[in-house]
Amino acid sequence: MSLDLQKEKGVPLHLQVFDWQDLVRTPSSKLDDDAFTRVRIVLMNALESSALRFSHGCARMSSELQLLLAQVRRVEQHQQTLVNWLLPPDLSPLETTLVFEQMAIEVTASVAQHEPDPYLSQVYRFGMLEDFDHLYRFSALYDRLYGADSNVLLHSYTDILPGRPTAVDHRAPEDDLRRCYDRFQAAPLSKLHAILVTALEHQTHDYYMIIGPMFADPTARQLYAEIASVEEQHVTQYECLSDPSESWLEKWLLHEATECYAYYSCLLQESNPRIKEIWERLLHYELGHLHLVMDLVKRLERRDPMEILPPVLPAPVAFTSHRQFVRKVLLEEVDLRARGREIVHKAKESEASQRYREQLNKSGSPSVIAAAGYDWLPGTELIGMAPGAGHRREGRSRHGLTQFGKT
Amino acid sequence: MALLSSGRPDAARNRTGAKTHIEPNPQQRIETRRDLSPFFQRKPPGTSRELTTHRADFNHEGEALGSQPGRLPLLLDKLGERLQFERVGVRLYEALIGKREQLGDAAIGQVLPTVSELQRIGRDELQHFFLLRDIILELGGDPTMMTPSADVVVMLGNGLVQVLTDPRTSFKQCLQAILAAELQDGDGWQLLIEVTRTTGRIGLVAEFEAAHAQELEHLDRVRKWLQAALACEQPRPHHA
Repeated sequence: MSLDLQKEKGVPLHLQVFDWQDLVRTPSSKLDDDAFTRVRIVLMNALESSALRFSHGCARMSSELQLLLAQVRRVEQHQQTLVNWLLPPDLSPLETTLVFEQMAIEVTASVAQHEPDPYLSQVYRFGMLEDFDHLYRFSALYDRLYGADSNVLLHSYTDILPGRPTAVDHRAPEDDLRRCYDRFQAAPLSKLHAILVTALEHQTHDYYMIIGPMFADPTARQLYAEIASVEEQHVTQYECLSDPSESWLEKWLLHEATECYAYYSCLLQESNPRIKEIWERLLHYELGHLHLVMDLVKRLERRDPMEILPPVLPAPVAFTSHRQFVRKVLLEEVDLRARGREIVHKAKESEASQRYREQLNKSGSPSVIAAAGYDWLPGTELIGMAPGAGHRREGRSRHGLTQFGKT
Repeated sequence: MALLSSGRPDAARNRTGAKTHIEPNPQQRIETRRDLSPFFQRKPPGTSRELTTHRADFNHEGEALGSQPGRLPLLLDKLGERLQFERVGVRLYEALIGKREQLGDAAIGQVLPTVSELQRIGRDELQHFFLLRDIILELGGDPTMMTPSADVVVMLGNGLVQVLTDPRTSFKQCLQAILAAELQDGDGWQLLIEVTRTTGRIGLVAEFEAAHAQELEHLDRVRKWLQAALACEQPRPHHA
C-alpha cells in the first residue's frame, strides 16, 4: 500500500477546523496502550513542533509568505495540541522522558536502516547509541528515586543497557557539525529522514530544558542539564544534514512531505482505533498543506514540485523493536567518536573535544552518579537485593549490600 | 567582577502574604477588594461548580486508568499496589537516611532516630516487597506489572519523593512526608487483608497481618520522632 502524493489532495485548508472539545480528548492509557502508540504520539508532537519552528523562522525571512505561513501554522498549532494532549496525566515528566528516549532509539534505528546514503546512516547510528545510553541513565534514576521499573512503559521492546557513555558524549562544537546531503543528488527519503530526526531531537532538548528544574533531587536536576546539553549537540549534528542551499520554499515543501510520511507511517501501524482515526484525519490535513505548498513552488519558483518530492511515499518508519540491530551497532560502534564532520575511532578524537569534556566533567558527571552500578532487572534493581536470612521468603542477593546495611 | 554595587542584601523575608508584602509605591497597592470591584463586573457567571461538571463531560466512554487482566483481579490489583508502595518506601527511607546522615553530630542531644533505626525500617519495607512479589507469583500474577492501583500509588508518591529528595528540606519536614507515607501504608495493608479474606485466601492473612503489625509499629515510631522533633523547635521561655 503506497500513497501517491500527486493524486491525494487531502482536505483543503479552510475545512481544517477544530473546537476545544475536539482538541482535548480522552488521552491514551499509560497502562493499556502499546508502547509504540506513545512513541507515535511523541514523534508526531515533535514533528508538529518542528513545523511551527520552521514556519516562524521562514516568516521572519519572507514577508511574501507571511500570511500563508500564519494560516497553515494555526492549523499545525492545533494539530500539535490534539496530538500532544493524547499523553495521559498519570505519565509523569520522568516517565515521558523514558518515552522520548525509546522513541529516539527505535525511530532512529529504523531511519538508519532505511537510509540509502552510507554517511548519513553512520551519523544516525552514531547519535542512536547516545540516546540509547540516555535511556539507561534515566531508567536508573526512575528506579532509584521512585522505586519503579521503566520497562512498565517500554514493554520489553527496547534494551535498558549502557550505550556510548553520556559522560563522553560532550564534544567541542566543531566536532558536532556534519556533512549535508546534496539537494540535487540525494534521494527524497534522505531529506525526509533529516527533517524527522532533527525534529525529534529538538523536541527532546526543549522538553528537558523545561522539566529539568522541576525535580527536587540534585542529581536529577544535573542529569537533565547534562543530557539536555547532549540533545543540543544532536540538534546541531542533525540539522547539518539538510542541504542549506535549499530555498525556504523547498524546505517548507519537504517539511510538509515529512509530516505526510510520518502520519502515514503512524496510520499504517496504529493499534488503538480511536488514535488511528486521528492519524488518518491529520494525514489528510497534511496532504492539504502539501498541495498548497506545491502550488506555491510552481507559482513562485516556476519549478515542478515533483522534482523534489518522492512520487509515492517511501516504506513507512518501522514502529517495532530494533533490539538486534541496536545490539550489533553497540558492539561494533560504541568506541566511535567525532572529529570535525567525520565519525572516527576514539583514538583519533580531537583534542578540542577532549579538553571541552574534561572541563564539563571536572566536578564529576551526573550520568555516572545516577547510574552507579546499575543493573536493570525486571521489577527494578531491588530484585537483586533480597533481604537477609531468617525471612521465610528469602531471595537471592546479587550484590549482598543494600543501603540498609549488609543483608 | 561586580558590575553593579549590590548594596546591602535584603534580609531574608517571606514575601508571599498579601498583608506582609508591602508594595513601596502607594499607587500600586491593593489595599482592599473594593478597589477591584469595577474590574470584576466582567467576570463570567457561575461558580466553581462549572469546573466540576465540566470535568465529568470528559469521560463519556468511561475510560479507566488501566485494566487488571486475569483471575483474582481485585486481589492482584491490591497486591500490585502494596508492592509498588513498599518499593517506593525503600527509596523514601534511603533518602531519609541520607538526610539523617547529613545531620551527623549536630543532632546530638535531640530525640531523633538513629541511622540504624531507619535502616531497620527500610529493611522491613524491602522484606514486604519480596513477600508481596512471591505471593503474586504464587497466585499466577505478574509482579512486574503496574496495576491500576499501583499507578495511583506512583502518582501519590511523586510529592513524597519531591519532599525527601530536595536538599533544602529539613529532617523534620522529611519526617512529615514519611508520616504521610506510613499512614497510607498502614491502611493499605488493612485493606489488603480485608480483600484477601473476601477472596477466600485465608492462608495469606497471617503473613499480611504480621506485615501490618510492623507497619503500625513504624507509624508509631515516626509519629513519636516527629512530635519530639517539633518539641525541640518550641521557642525557649524568654527570661528578661
